[in-house]
Amino acid sequence: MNKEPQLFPKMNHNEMSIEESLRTNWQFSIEVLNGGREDSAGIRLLEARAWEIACEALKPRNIHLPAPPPSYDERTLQQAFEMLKAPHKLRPLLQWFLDQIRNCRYMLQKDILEFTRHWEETMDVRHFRELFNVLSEWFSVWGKEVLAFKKYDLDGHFAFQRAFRASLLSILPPSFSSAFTALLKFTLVDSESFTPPASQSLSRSPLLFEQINTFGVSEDFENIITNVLYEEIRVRVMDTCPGEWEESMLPGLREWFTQKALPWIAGMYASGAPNEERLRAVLGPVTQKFDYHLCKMLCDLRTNEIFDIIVNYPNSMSAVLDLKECLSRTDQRAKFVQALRKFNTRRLLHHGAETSNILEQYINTIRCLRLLDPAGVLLFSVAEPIRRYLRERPDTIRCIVSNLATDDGILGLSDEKDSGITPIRDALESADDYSDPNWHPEPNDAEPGFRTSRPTDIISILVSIYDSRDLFIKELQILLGRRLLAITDGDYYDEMRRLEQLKLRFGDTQLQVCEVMMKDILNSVRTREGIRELGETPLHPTVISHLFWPEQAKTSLVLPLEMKVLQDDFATKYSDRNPGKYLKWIPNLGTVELKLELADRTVAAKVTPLQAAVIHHFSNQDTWTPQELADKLDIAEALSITSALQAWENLGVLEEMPDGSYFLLETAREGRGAKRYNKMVLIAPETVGEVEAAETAEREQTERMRVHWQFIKGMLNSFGKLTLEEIHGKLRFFAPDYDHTQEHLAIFMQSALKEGLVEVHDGVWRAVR
Amino acid sequence: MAPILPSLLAASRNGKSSDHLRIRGATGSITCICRLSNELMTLMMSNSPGISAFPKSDSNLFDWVGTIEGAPGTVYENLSFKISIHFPSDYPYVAPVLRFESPCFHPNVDLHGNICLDILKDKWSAVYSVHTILLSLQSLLGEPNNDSPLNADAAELWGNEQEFKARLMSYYRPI
Repeated sequence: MNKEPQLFPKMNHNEMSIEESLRTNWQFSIEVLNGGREDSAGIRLLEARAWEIACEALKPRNIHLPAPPPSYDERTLQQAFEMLKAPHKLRPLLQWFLDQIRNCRYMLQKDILEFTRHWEETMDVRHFRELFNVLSEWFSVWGKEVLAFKKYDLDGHFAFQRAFRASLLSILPPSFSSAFTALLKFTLVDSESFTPPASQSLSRSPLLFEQINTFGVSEDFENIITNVLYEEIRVRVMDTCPGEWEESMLPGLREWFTQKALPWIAGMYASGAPNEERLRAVLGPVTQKFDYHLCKMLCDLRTNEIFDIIVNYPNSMSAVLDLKECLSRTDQRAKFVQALRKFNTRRLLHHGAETSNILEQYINTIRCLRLLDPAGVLLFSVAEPIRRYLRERPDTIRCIVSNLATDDGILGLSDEKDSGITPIRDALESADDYSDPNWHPEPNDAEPGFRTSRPTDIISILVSIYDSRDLFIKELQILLGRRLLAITDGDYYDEMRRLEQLKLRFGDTQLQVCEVMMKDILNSVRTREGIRELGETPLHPTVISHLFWPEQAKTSLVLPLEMKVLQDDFATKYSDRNPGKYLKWIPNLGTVELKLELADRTVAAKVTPLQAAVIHHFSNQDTWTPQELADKLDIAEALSITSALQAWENLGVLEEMPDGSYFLLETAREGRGAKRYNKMVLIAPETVGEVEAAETAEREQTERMRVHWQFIKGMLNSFGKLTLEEIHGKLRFFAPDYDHTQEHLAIFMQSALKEGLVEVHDGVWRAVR
Repeated sequence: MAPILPSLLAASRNGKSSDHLRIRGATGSITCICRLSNELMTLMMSNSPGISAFPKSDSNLFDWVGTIEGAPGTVYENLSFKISIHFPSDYPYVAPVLRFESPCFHPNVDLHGNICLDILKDKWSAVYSVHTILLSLQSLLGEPNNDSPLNADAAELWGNEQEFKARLMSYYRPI
């Protein structure tokens, strides 16, 4: 350039403002700079201008202020965009816009803080809901500008959404999430129970979820949303299910979930799904997740209730079936076992529970868990502590046996009738059948001792609590003996039927003794008839073989002479009929039907032999003291005499005198018993000996002592004389189950001494011959 | 299971008398021990009047002592005799050896107390037990087998009850 360029054209100050002139001058300068060509710096200056215009138009505005008039008309704006397009300046422009969004987030923050604070103060979710409308407005106002980029093949929407999300998340106050949780809960619950008209529009959750989706924050809130739903499922389960065992709850819960909760989350996850099928496909995994949670909740609940569920079985069968499905879905078996074991220890296996209750619960547990887990793994793990505990209880066998031998006992034999009575299988004898083509390994959570091939019927399980079956057989004999002797009407059909059933279970050989007992009873009937043919007798004896019957409680009761004559007569006839067999009477068993002929009345009664013997003595002498009677009848304990006397006193036959003796009322006393009773009175026979009432443990103890006494007697007889130490040493060595101390033995020997069975001189014991 | 074996084992397990097992091993098989302890139990529980027997010492089940009383109605009534029983280690396949330890005037018992009883000799069978042997011995007292006497004097005198009783009592030593 050789000549001085004219930098500043002459200005007309009157026509143009300073700005205008500057601009003109600027334009001029650019043209000079560009030297008439359309590029380079001059262009750049134009671009700068276009940038400025675009920025002005795009700048995010505060929606709370009235919208300012557009700074430029559409055309100018478009020209600016056109200009920026060529040098690829649109992308930086978009970037600038997004930066602006971030910079302007303080405007949002103000709104959010305000709404959140309002919620904190009032807890009004409906108001809080407005926040999303406002946010929506911000979003749409700001996002509108991005549309301008679309014309130039530049989709800014996604970038904008991201920028908006980033801004939004960066300014959320801490309490926002709780507010949002409350809102979600409200929308979820609202649709079913709480629908005030005013809230209807705002609580429509699809819109809310749409908004959240629009902001692109649904993923960020997913945790909150699912937590809300989890919580809601928990509440639902806790509200509807506890204690409801008689119907299946799972289908109802699932129905509720499909009807109410599923549409709710559908808004969140699948708002854009075009049709039902697609919707289901999208929601599939989500539904599975929540269904798992549903099952887990129900499973937890039922696990906590399991003890009572078992108590109420079979009424609670539906709950068990629910639990079965839940367990199979959630794999909480270990937890279940743990819980049930804990409950059992705390609520069942302690001294406060009766053995029959424990047994009943055990049986119910067996039934329940078999339903729950046919393979029996659960049962095995749960049952072991119960079985161990039962084994320690002294009266378990008695309890099982007495239930075994009744039809309506807790064992409910009837409900197994369908499957037929199966012989009892021994837990030990079943080994794996290696040639079984259908063999399966034990389930993988089975404990080491578990066997699939264990016996499964309840009686076998109960019997297998003990290693040996002999105890049961012994107890069965005792029970059968007691029951047979208690039957007076000659109807033995029930007992025979029961015995047959038991034989199917235990096998003929085991119950041979019981068979003999039954035969004895039936033979007795024939014997009685046979002897009656020889001559009338008022006796109806039951003849039992002492080798086969359990020891009968014997007391030394001296029966009246008349009675003795009858007995001897019967015994002789019996021995004539059965050569080589002799009768030995057990005077304290049986019942006596007698008629008392008093001066003014007749009293008929059915009483025990002792009571009969007592009243018999009053026929010769009308006043007796209990002690006199005890001596006369050779009864050691005066207590049973007194109770017999009182029984007669209750009938108005005797009266107690002030000095403790009893007096026979030949004529009925005014207002006394006789009037209260009818002619035929039945005094409930005393329970056939208190011995029966005694616990099995005591009986075992006495039985053991009896065995020990036999040993002591045997050794004293063999050696002639022994010291206490020697007896103790020999007992410890040879007698079974001898675990007493020498002091204990000394006490025992002293009592034997008192009974005159042994004698002692200078510490040397001898048997009395 | 024999009731005594557990107590034997238990005793040795407790370390109280660890030599029992050794003794058992030295003198007899387990079946024999089982059998003998079973028989002891049966005998103790049998409650038969007039017979009794018991192992002599704690450590040896094979030597027993016992007493036998004469059955009522026989010449031996109210008399009791001391006996000893020795079981061989292959009992019950071989009969035990029984002897009267106190003098007994009897056709089938010699002056040393040896007994002639068929079931202890050629008629022995493993089904017999201490209990049955003692019962047989008791009945032998009242019903001697005079065809094969060990004590000829006694066999001759048997028919004469009075004289027999006198001789018997001259020998008899109450225990």
